[in-house]
Amino acid sequence: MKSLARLSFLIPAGTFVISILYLVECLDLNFGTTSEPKEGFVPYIVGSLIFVGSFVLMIDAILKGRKMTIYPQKVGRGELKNILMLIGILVGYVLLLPILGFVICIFLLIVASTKIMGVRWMTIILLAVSTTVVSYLIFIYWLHVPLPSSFFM
Amino acid sequence: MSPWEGILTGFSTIMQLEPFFFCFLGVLIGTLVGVLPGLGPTGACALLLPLTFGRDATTALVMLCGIYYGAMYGGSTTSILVNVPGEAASVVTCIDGHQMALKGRAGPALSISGIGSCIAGTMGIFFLMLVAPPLARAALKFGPPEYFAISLLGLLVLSRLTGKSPIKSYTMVFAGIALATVGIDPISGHLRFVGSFKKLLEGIDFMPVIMGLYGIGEVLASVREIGVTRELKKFRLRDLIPTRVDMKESIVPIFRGGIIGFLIGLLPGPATIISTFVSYGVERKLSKRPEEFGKGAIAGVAGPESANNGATGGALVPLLSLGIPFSPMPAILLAAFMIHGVLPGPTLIKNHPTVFWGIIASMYIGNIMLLILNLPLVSIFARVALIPSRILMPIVIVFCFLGAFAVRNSIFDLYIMIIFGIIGYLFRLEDYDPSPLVLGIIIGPVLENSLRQSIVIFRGDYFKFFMRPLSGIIITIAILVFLSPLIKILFFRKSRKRLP
Repeated sequence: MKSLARLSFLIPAGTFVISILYLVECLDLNFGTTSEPKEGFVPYIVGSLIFVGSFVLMIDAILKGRKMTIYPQKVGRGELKNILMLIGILVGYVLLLPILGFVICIFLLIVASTKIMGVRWMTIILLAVSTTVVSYLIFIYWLHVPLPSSFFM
Repeated sequence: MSPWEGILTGFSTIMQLEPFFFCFLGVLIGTLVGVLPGLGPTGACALLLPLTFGRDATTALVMLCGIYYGAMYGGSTTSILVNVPGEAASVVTCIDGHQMALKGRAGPALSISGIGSCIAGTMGIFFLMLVAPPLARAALKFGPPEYFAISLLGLLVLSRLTGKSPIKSYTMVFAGIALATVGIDPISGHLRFVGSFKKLLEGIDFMPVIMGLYGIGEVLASVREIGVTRELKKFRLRDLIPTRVDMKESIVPIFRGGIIGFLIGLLPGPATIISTFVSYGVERKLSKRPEEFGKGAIAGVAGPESANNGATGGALVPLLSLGIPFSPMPAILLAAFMIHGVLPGPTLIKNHPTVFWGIIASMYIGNIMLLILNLPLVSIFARVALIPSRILMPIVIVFCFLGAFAVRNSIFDLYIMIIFGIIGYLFRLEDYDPSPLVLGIIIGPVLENSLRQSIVIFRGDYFKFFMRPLSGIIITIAILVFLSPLIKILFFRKSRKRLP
């Protein structure tokens, strides 16, 4: 079971599951005929190819895993914790963007992500302020890119 | 319009304040991006695409092309001085370049790298100028069968050239094509794989996917570099002037590298990376002193660094003449073309000559700017590589979000980017190359539409694909490429049986 927890198995296994879901959704599409292909023609073909490819990779990972006695750890606990926190910050940014707007969210994003990376508070504040100001000047003031403003404004 | 009339038109377009400034900005950013390990030109162009909004197409593309070939210059700086490749196409330069730096010869390595890049880059543009227009004229006669054949060959060759496992790469290509089917079918108008997510009606745009795989993925991978410090090899500015012996040993590898790079650039796949390995192998084989390679042979720097710049010219040929990008970087340029309302391909030179020739002219000027920037200011650029990733990566995150949002003004694209960022990080852990997935998404619609149109034209007679000379030849090559692992196994099995 430990061998199945490896990424080399989990990635093709995940792809295999997604390919099955994709092929199930293809049942709602019209394949057409071999002389008049419809919208399901290419999806059926690529879905089947992904199914076969990911299945082969899964079996290959299982067979390789059986031969291994030591399973190298690709990601340490500390690194995993930081990665998950960073992903949480990214998702949090997207959730808060329509409410707090671009300017505040950029500032909070820089503060939170640099804190995880172990930067000192003085550098964090300087970096957050300068990045927010420069981004505002370039994207909103100069380029007039329509970025979300705060819900309260 | 002859090439000479065209290039004069191009120069007259570029020698105005705004396009000239953006050309300079592009090469400057490209050099910085090349120097910084992690973020390559593909990610940088994707992030900085919004900077081009509001500009005309020529100005926008001039800047993005500047980032592309500028990164090839910058990458060698850190390879030589820090033994860390600034971007993937400079990996080979670490072998002999850093060895030269350890022997106190960093100056000649840097100068030969810059001079070689300039000469080979100029050669690449010259060949592009000569090859693209006749190819575009020939492509006007292409129909859906030819476009299907070229797309198929492109994807299969890319899969064989990237990554260590052909099955992984093929599966990624098919996954990319599958992602491209999400949304409204352009031929019948039916909804595909939308479910109850109305946002999926617009399909999955490849820009957030690229920003996720190359930008956010890199940020997540850089978490492991927290606390890593790099050391910079010092050199004197006067050492930048190469000696007569250095130039004599480098000039032929430079020209050879430029030709190798351009020819490999025409092929699908990571041309700038592959060309450096091929060039290094060729120089070592042809050298009178092959034992010096790996210990500071100047030809081991001159050849590869020239090849990666020559490849940038070659890589633009399929995009500009056929409208089909064969690697992720030209795909970003394709996005830029489309955002600015210009369709690259056979009609580009005819309908938008100022755009095509403006890009060509800007590349000539940009190469000179790069030589002037890189040699005297190389120590400043080198110090940029010492900026810790814990300071740099949060800024990259900001640009990723701005870039992904600005493409379609969609919060949904930000979620797509985060998902593919996680996938990009997992890919890095397990040696999956993201290029086949990206090219699958980009070329998938061309492949599907041309296949379905061809089948309708041929009324289901698939052999007619082989009766058209060009599509027949290309599809045959594609089949051979696809079956090449099997052919290799069968051939080796027969050879082993014959041995006593």
